Amino acid sequence: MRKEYQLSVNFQFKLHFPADNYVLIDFGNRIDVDLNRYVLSMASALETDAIIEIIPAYSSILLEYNPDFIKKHELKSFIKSAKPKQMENIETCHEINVSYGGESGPDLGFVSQNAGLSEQQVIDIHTSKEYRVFMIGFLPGFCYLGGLDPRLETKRLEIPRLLIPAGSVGIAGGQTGIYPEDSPGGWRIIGKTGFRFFVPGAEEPFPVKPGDSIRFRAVKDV
Amino acid sequence: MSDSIFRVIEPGIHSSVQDGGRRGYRRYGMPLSGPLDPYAYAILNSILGNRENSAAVEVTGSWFSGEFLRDCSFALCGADPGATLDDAAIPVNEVICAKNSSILKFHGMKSGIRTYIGVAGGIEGNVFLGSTSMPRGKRLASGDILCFAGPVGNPDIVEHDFSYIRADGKYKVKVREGPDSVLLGKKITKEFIKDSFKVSLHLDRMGIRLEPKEYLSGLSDGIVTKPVFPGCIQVTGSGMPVIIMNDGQTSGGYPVIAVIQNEDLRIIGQLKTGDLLSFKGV
Repeated sequence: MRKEYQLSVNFQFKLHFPADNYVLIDFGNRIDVDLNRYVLSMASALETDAIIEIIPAYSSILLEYNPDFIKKHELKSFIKSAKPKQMENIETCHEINVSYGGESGPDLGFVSQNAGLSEQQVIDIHTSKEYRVFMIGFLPGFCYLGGLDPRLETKRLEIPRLLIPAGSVGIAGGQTGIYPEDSPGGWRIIGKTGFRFFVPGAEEPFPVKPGDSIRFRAVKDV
Repeated sequence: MSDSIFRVIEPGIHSSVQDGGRRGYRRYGMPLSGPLDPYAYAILNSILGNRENSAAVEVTGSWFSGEFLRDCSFALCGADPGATLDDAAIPVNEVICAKNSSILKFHGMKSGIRTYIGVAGGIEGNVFLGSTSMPRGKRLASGDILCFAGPVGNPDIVEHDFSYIRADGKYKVKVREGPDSVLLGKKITKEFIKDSFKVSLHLDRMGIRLEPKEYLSGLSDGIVTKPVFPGCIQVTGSGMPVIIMNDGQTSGGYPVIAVIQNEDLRIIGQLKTGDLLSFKGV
């Protein structure tokens, strides 16, 4: 599913040059959908040969550049004059099948008791929304999702599990997310998906991009 | 395999194949990887006449050994691991000839912690997302066989200076104030840069933890997650500085107080537990 949006303009930013080959474009410590859209559009407007890598986040963009190709003052004016593209105002929503509870989601009971809701209500609330992928980081393919219903907020485990299998869907504080690979972790695991966020060897190893959104769909088995 | 060149016998603490690093995927959370001592890695490839980004083996600590599977030229660069080839002591930073079935063995780092092993012509690694660097979590194991990439180039005579690897374990590195130094407070940042820190037990290719300081604790509840890169020094809530290394996370929620400058990353790659690190603001 794809949908269009309008791009807000004119967000202010500061430039930091923390090393000879890096510049951080910092829009401030803010999580905001309009700002994140602006950040991602700006990131694609900055693509040029002198820039080695562009890494967008919630409200900042890190550029690695080659100082032999572009001088600091040239880079400054290039960034200041960059016009975010209005053309690509389309975001993809990925529907992801999740088997909630049971062995797939050992913490569904805890989350529902903590919220004072039934397990089915937790599933209904969790599947009722689209979650924006603000950025990807932490582990290869790990999506930082926004928009968890505040009723489902749950503290992390006191003692993290040594192994959480790839595809586990969890809640930590006010965040929900999916473990892209086997990893230790302290998130409350409510379900599991067979969807892979990191597919080594595939033509598109990372099928989900920053700016996309995710909708969970409850199924019996994945 | 006909192009086999080296078999790992003992992999030591952490040995991996590294090239110049993996670029273009950090926006998807894939770490940069690449050598932790980029200077030693670059000198290695120059003296062997290899391409700039030819793959080599990065060895951390001692207890490494292996067997050459054909006659070849090779070199060791970086920390001097007290190496022998068939029981004869060999120097670092020089091209050496090995015979088929020669045994290379490390007996103990004299100073520093990382040594690079390369062969003339380079090692052929598995290309994964554009790089032969082993991704985080992968490492060489006993019995692994490395293949020869080739062709062999013309060795360069290059000047080199490894005096940055110090026997006394006392290091000073150049830093700039980090993007979050204002948030943490300019005064705190200045105090941090003047201070010195012991390297803790926790150091690997992902990061190096330094000893915590009281005045650095409880400064912030964290920041909105931002990209980080090798050389960034984060401060955790408990006041512990953590240096991000090449296999580290691509983004972080702890404020970055200072950033180690590129020319001194080679020093960070040679730090070991108990070393004393201080800074020079630039």
